[in-house]
Amino acid sequence: MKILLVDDSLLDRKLAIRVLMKAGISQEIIQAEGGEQAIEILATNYMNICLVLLDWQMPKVSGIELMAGMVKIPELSKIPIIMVTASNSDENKKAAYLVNPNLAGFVGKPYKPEELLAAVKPFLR
Amino acid sequence: MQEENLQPLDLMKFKEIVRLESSRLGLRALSTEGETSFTLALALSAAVKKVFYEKSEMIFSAEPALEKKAITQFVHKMRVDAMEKFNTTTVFAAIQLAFNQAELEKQTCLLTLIVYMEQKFLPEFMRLMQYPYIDYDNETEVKDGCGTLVNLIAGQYKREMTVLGYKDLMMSPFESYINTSPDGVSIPKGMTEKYELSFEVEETKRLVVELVSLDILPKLIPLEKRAAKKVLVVDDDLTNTKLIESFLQSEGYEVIVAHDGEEGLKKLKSRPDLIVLDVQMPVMDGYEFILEKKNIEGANQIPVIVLTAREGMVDMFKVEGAREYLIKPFQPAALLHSIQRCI
Repeated sequence: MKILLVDDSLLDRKLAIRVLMKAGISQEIIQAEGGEQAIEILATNYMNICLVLLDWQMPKVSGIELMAGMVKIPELSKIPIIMVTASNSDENKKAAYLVNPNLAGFVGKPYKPEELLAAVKPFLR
Repeated sequence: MQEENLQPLDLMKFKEIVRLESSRLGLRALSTEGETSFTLALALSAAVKKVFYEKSEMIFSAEPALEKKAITQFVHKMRVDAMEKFNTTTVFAAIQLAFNQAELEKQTCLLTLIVYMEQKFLPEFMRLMQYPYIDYDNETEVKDGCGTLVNLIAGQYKREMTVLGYKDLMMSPFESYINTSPDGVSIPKGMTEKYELSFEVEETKRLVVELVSLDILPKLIPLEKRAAKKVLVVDDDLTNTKLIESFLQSEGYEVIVAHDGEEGLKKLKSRPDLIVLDVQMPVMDGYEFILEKKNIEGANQIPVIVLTAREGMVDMFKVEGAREYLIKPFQPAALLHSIQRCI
């Protein structure tokens, strides 16, 4: 099973991958540069994805919008989503949980490696 | 979880669900991109199309390309090098819009409109607009010609905005230039956004319009809520009608669908406020439909928006009273704007 990492910033993607690799997480990580690309990846590969790490602020289709669509699609609603975002105000957190009551985690950027790992580990098999 | 028989998802449907859900929940506002200033840019694109549709024989060969651009600015002036747009001698003219005359005089405008055109193409444009022939060796005449054009476009843009429910704005006299403006063009003071719209005639870029506006502009001139209206969509393409239907419903319209002209005529009984009409259809095509519609009592004044893949078709429909046209493929938001202008 694979992890889908959705973030428009290359630097942020590299950082997240390094944190996960260093911690010995062996799952393959698929990268998407934005919501639109994530939609395409999910549509064909959802059966192989065990976790989505999702940035909020992205051009075109944002993370919160992608998530709003995912929760309405039965095949996708079961995939756990962790938001990894700089938009980590309490209001935004509330909005994210309103959109997806089963949100698997909310990690604010910038994060310490332990924070990301703690959020991710329960969902890896 | 890893079962072999799991099927890929329908991509179009997935995208549509994302779009519908985010508009239902109002999530766009929580995102980075200002949908609202994009809306203003779309209204401008519609205004330009309308100026030419009404005044000239000319139809653009594609839906205008709309791009968000960065601004190089200094002290509320924008650096302008018109040569970048066409690579040849280029004439351009700018106009500012503000709340009132006093604001204009203080140079605290809300938005700036700039129209760029090749010098050699300008006389052709003015002839199409039924203006007297311009001597393009005479710099003043050429500059004035471009000024006239920006005046027409800005005037129409103001009307588009009031139709959309925004306040009526005041317009400054135009300023025109050739190639480069050494001191730049005045733009609003504050955080601004720039959109560039490119228009093609016979598949060649012939006209560029730029919009520089305050990013908070939509909040300054608020939009009113509109009432629910009935739209009849006549198109044989099922994917198309599904998309238009769900999009318009999410925007609060009642939608009736017909899959050819004959069915469309029958459904006129439900008294739609507007018709969105495809051209190529089996049984009865869009052209026959618009001709037949004239003979039906009470149906003649229902506005029609024509959807077509070929710009050449538009003229025929214009003669028969079509109000607006959209060239496929178009942005759903562009359709919404056409509808808002018609009803």
